[in-house]
Amino acid sequence: MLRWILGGREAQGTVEKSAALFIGEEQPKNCFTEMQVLKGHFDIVRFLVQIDDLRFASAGDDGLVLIWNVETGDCLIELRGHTQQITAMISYTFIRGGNAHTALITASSDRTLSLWDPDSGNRVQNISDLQSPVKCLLVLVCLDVWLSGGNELCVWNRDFELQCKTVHHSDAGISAMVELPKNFIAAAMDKEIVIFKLNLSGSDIAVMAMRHLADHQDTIHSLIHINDGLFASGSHIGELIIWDSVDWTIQAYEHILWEEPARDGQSEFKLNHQKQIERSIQHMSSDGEYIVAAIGSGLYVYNVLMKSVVAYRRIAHDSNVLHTVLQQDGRLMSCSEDGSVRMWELQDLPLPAEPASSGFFGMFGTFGRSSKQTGPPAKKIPEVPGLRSLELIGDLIGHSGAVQVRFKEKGLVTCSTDHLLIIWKDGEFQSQLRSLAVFQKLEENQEL
Amino acid sequence: MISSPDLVAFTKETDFSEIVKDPSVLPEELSVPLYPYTGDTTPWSKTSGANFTKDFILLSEFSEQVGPQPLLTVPPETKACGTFDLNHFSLRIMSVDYQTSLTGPAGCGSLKLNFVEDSKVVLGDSREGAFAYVHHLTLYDLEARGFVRPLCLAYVSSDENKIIQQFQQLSAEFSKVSECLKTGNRKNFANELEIKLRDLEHTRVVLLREIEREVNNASVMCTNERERMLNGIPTLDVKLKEKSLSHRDEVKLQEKGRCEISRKAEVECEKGNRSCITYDRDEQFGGRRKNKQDKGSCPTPLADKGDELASVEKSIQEFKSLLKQVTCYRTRKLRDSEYSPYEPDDLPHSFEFDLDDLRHGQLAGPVLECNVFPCTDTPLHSLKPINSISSCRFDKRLKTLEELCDDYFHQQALQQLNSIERTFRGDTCHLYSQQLCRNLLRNLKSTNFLFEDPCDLEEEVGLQIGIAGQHSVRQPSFLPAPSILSEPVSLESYVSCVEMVPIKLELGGSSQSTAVPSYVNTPAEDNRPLTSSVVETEMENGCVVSASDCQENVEMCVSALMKTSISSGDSIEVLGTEKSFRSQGSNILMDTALQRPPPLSTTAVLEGLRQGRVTTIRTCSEDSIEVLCTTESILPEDLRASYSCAIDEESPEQETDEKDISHNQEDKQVECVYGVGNKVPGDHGGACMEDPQDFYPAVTLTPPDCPMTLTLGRSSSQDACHASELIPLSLLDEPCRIVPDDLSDCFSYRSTTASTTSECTFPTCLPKNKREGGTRRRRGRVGRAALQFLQQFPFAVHAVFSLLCGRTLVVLGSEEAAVRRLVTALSVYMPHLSRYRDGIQPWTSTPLQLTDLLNWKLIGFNRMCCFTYINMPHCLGHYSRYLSILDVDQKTLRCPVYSGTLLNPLVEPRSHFKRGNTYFMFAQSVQSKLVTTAFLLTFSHGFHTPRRPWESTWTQCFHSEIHRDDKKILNYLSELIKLHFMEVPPNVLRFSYTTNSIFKL
Repeated sequence: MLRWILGGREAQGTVEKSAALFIGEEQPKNCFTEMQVLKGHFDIVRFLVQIDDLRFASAGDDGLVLIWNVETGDCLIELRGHTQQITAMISYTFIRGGNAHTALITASSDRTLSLWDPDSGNRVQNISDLQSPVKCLLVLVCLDVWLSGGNELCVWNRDFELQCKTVHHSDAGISAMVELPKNFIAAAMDKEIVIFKLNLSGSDIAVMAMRHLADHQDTIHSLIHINDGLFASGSHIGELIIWDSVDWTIQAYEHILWEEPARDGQSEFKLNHQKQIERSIQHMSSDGEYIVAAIGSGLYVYNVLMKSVVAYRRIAHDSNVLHTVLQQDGRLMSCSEDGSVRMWELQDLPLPAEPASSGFFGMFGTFGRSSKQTGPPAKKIPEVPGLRSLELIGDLIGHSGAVQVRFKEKGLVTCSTDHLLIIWKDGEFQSQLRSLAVFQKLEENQEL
Repeated sequence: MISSPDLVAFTKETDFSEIVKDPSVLPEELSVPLYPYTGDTTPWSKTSGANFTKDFILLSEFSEQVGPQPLLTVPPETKACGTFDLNHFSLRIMSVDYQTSLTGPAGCGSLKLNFVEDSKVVLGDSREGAFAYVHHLTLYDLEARGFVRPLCLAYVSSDENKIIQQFQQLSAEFSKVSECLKTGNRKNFANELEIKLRDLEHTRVVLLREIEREVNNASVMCTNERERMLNGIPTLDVKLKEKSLSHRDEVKLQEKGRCEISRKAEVECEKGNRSCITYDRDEQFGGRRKNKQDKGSCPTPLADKGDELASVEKSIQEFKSLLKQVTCYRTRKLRDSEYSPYEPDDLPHSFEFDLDDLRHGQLAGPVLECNVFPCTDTPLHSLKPINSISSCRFDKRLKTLEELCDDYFHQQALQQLNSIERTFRGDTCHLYSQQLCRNLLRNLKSTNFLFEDPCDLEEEVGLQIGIAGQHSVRQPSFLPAPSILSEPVSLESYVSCVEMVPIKLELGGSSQSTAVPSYVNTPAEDNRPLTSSVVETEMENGCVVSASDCQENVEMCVSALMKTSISSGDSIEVLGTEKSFRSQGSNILMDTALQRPPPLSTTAVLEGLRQGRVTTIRTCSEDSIEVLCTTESILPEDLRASYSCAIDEESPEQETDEKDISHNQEDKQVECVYGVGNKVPGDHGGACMEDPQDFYPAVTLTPPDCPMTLTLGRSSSQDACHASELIPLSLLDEPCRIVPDDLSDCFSYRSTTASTTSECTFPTCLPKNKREGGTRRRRGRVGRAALQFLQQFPFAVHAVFSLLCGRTLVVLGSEEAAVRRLVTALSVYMPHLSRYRDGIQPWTSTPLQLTDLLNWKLIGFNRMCCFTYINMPHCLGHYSRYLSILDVDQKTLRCPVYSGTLLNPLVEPRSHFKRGNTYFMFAQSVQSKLVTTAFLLTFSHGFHTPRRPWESTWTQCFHSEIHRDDKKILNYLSELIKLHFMEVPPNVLRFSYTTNSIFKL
């Protein structure tokens, strides 16, 4: 009897690409050993919003909003009303009658805005015939108003009454908004960031553009809030700018180029043609200290306080990374168009290890591979002190398309272009929960 | 948790010390009795002297023309009975006629239909080597003598024990058939009566006309003779014309009426209406009749006509009364709580009545009753005069069974007979173990879905219902709890049973013996009042005679059972009648007495009982029909006592359940039962209760406050273990005995027997019958396939491991047959996800979706579904983490390695087993061991809470000694059990990140 040890996913076709990133089937640090597949959508699912500890909502191109129970995986309510794809969704918590209510605001391509009650499934408010579809939503809790960004910026109060709006912006509208201190708003519009100010005079609210920050050279894809003093923006060509929230000055500027400086002259040409897309910052997330940027199919971790790169991985996925989540414990997750979710851990580099030759990796593709990944392949810039490595500790395979991820305490929910949602759970923990439930039931039935 | 007071009570009770002394013994309802016929002979050693090869069902009739004759057999004659002389046997079984009062009190003026309860007896013809359960029933036929057609259904077997053992089931099943036939028959009989009545009416009209004419003629002749001579006939003609016209009108009117009726009948009640109309007409004619009777002094032809008319009228009255009886039957029976009407689904249920009906004083009862019969057919019937004196029917063809019963019901009955034949086919040992296994399986509610055949568990339902219909018992196959049986109440019922056999028994010793027949007619009523305690005491006071009598019966019974001698040469032995098994019914009635309303008129019933108490003396019959015992005396209890080992079929559990339902009547009840149990053997001797000690465990096992006993369906040792972990006071001080091996014996036995009943593990939507039939073969086939698989692949254990730890196994191949064969083989090892879902997809070509992995655990996959990846289809590659892949074409297996020990027995014996059946059973036994351990794992508290000092050794053992891979298996099974217990559909996919290996031949 012959026996081969080999890794999975050998039929993946793009061997060369995935070779570097292959993790074996043994993933001791991966606790997600149970999954639940939620079916309900008929098209790409793009948005996941947590409502409370138990419920979350999903929305996508089919115009449906579904509310799920994260514990049981049951679909609780189906919110129907939008005729076209949903372009933005946000949860909106307000106090009414002494109780906190959580509602959902959705925006759709059919140029409507709706407020939903997730308990009853009612469409509480609805605004149609907007001049332009809304691309992003932002709730200002302190003012108890919410903003919609499309071709113009509109300010709404709780009762869906339009408070004020900006003048019409001719070209690309607002793609992202971030709340800044002192009632300022930063909005990303194509290549520039516009700072708006909300003026409160009595019950009236007025909005006016304060400044245009035109330091990016290409379209801004990502605009995030880091902490009270900083926010960050990332552009299509890999520019990462950290801004001061108060005086809107540039705190740091990183132009991330994946190619090695040594081969600069040679690869510049190549890069312009081939790697253009790979430099695009599609998504960023931050925990106040670190920023994770999804750049092409790679990941880039930046320490805001140190203003230095912490770790990076040029090829983290087989295709573009679309979404990242930074967890508290120094772990991060990335989701990619290839349908996989990967979990990474920041680890201190033991020693500048001998980089593995690409030939070795090529062999792996055809013959057999050890289940353990030896190390990151592209450690060609070890000159930065304190550089840590980003180790793959596990991956979740289930989806067949682009994925977004939301992390909840009770599990990980992913949504995808394959119309599915998956809840990933810790199997051990779930098993214990079930045991408890069993004994509870026994006790109820007086069988103990 | 057990609350402490209960616990204290439990431990303090000295009575219980006896039970606790050996805690490792399984509760009785879970213990597996050995095959009852131990001793010198094995069940196989017996050779039957019968000249038929397998059991069959015989339907024969006591024809008034030719005497007893066989009508049909199931299976058809040529197959079934070989050289066996059916005619002779029919004669035998029909000559034991227990339906004594078919014709009612003789000489009574009005016809009376007696709706006789079927009688059920066990007969034996030892010379032929044939034994039969015989079910006598009576159908009604207007053209038959006394309107009755006695029939009997017989289940003929060469194995006497089989008949006796299966008596309850047979009785229940045949009762259903009988009820079906009788319902159809009542329908047809009512129709027939309708027609007859219509004809009689017509006859009467004709007669009246004739009489009128005669009278006219006479008067004309007398008074106007001369006139007529002179004037010729015209005057008369005119008169006659007038008459005939009026008659024609009448006839027309009648016809019109009938049309109306038939229209109405479609909506509501045919008969009620008709009879009411006829009533109308009666009045109409009444006037004329008076007129006729006035002219009493008529010439002789006229007198003949008058007599004829009178007789026609009389028979009209009679038939009306008959019709009323038939139509009232159901209403009457419905009042009987034990009557379960046979209701086909397609009956129209319309309960509207026409106002006319009410106006005519029709009662609602009959109207409702009429709905039983599909009144769709109003046969076009041409009225014909009836010769009232025609009595010679011997030249007439008797109606066939199909004509007697409605076509639909006839077909139904035949189907049922076929199904009965299939159900009871086979060796008695096989049947016994099958039933045993089912009963045990039903106990294991929380785990039996895993490896047992789902349909196997469901099948029982049908039978249960059937018997419930008969006895208002939920679960038929129990034997009654012995303690209850021993009460005098049930003994009393023996007596009434003996009275049922007036043919061979002399009635005597009672002044009221004449009243017996009427009670014989409704034997069921004898038992019912016994439930009330008042009756109970009555009985004890006043039934000395019967007690001795009962004893006699019991002795007879026991002797019969012990097979001492049934050597009566040419004799037919009546081995039992149904009443004995009804004592079981009375038991259950006892149980349910609380829930049932007391009999309405207790005193009346008591009266009846007293009347019914008759001493009987058995006569030595010369024509050699020997009543060995009436079945009253074959108590299941006796069966049980006479076997070396108890047939223990779950009644204690039922008892527990009921007690639980009635909110645990506390220990008192148990004690009370004890009291009775102790007293009775003294009173009535040990005849019916050979070993009074025997029943103690049964009762003590079910202290109502021992909640963990059986609802979870555990074995006592599991309970004990459970208890040891849950109960602060450690009642059971030997937790170490819970090491799985200790359990293995009983459970392996269970599963061995289980496997005899379980059929193919595929979800079959076949009707019950077909499944029944193919069980053995399919089981054998599956087992053989599994053996082949084991021989073909030396690394089979890893594939089995994948299945048992919940990892989907894909059998990849390009040839469908080969793939399907492997899937069949592997299905042996696959635990079901839940009772109603099965995770096998024998052959698919569509790319796998993620959701498929949740639903299917064993997939046959067509390699040719996509040509791009010859080695492995893309979807399999994508989900390879969750899949084990057995490649049929390349003979490779890719899956995690198994290095535990639990599965080894499953694959090791591949050289030892030759027969698929045997291996199948063996595999189930190994699996049941796994299930037991998983069960323990699931319901052991210690696993799920932080470790405690008193943590049992088992827990430690599980944590330390059990191999990682074995833990995976057990955990998976445990998860399934949990989900099943919580009634959550298994909608999660559990997996683990483990390295796969590839094995290659």
